[in-house]
Amino acid sequence: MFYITNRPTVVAESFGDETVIINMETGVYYSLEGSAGAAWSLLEQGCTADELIDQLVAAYDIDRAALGNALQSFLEELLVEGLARQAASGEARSGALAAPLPPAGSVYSPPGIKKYEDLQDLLLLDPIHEVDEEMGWPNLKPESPQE
Amino acid sequence: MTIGGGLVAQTEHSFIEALGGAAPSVRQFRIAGFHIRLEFASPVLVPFLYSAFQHLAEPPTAQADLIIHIWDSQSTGAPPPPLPTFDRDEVWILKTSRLQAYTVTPGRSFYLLNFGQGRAYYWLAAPDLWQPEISSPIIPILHWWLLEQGWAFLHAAAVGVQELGAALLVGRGGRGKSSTALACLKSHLLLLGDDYCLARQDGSLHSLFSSAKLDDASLVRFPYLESARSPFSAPDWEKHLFFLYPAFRENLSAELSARCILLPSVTSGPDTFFRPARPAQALAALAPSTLYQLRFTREADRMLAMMRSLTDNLPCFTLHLGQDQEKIPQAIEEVLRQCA
Repeated sequence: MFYITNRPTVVAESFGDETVIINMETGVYYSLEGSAGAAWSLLEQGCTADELIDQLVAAYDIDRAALGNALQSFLEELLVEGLARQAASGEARSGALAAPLPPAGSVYSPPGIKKYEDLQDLLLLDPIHEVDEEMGWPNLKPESPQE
Repeated sequence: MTIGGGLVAQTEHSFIEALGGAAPSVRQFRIAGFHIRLEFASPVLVPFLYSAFQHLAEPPTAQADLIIHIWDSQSTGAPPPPLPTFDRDEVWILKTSRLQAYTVTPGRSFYLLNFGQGRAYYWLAAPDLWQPEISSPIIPILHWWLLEQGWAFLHAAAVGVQELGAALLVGRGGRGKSSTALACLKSHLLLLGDDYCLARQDGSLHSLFSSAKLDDASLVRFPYLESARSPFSAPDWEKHLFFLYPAFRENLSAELSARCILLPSVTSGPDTFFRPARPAQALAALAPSTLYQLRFTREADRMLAMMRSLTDNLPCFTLHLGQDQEKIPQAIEEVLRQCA
């Protein structure tokens, strides 16, 4: 079982050691700091919790025990916030995991996540439904006039 | 035989019924070189929906790049277009390879764009518009269509000088974007928009709306806006509405190139000053509120990438707004000179 970022509900952009994430469903946005950006880049590809730790230990040349707990709580926060999810059974990863490259000269700092809820006042609470060509509006029956 | 085709046919039928054999009231404006024509079957809607575009008006041309049909059922007696059946406030978004549609709140309003034909439809149950629908009309259709032409809809103000280019002012509501932009009306800086503007990846900016909104507290600082007060008002509106065209026509610009991104915040000191900001700070100030405004978009990734490109390629600054309003445009011009 692996974890993956919750696209397309979540969109993100990374700037070296800083990542900005927006949850389109809740209106909450986040900034990732420290090793969180490298962890996010792994989760974008899909990875298990063990792979996440292994890759970051190698990337930052840091003690596994020092990283493990911090990373576990970071991952849990991503899941709670709906930014990442467990992959569904049968869901495949796109390919081999590319190791994250921390920005040159950066030293390890624990994965940090800052949460910004200032847009929640504006949040549209109405549920959003998306339909496609096959579904159509729910009241458009097959016998409706068609082109 | 597709559901999308049926949707267009039934919506078109509703518009034709609304016309009742009469010619539509036509208004046209030009955005970023594109001719956009509004064809109204409900004349009562013309002032509500056209006022914000009058600074970009042009006479109707033989060919328009986008034609938007606009009508309501109450004043015309036309049947409503086919809408989803629901009895709670819900948002419905339809996207196919050639159509995009959006409706919220049962049976109140409906937006539909047919990309291939360059035709769009904006229907209202009745001509009782909410303030944002008058100050910044038809956003869903304009966003869908202009994005296909390479122009991103930004929740940002923009001011500048012809020979120096423009500063994008970004941040959620209440951070001082609008009041910064309106403070520039008393200077030689030009205003492209106080709340929204269009941007292309290369930094070109274009004006969209000539409207401005102020709450009671801010109104006292802008007495000169009285001459631009909108004739429309309603007791439940939280803000005063103004149309800067024609009263401030000399202070408006349709297009400029962006030279920097400013993140305003209000301070208690008299002076306005600026400090370097990180691109990630600018993106966090610009993207969430823009994507919130465009919650009907299915192009969040593409929009975010375009905004990322702007924050990467333009110098970013925090703009600490002082209480002396006259010094605000001076500080912005100083930033623009540094970035030129």
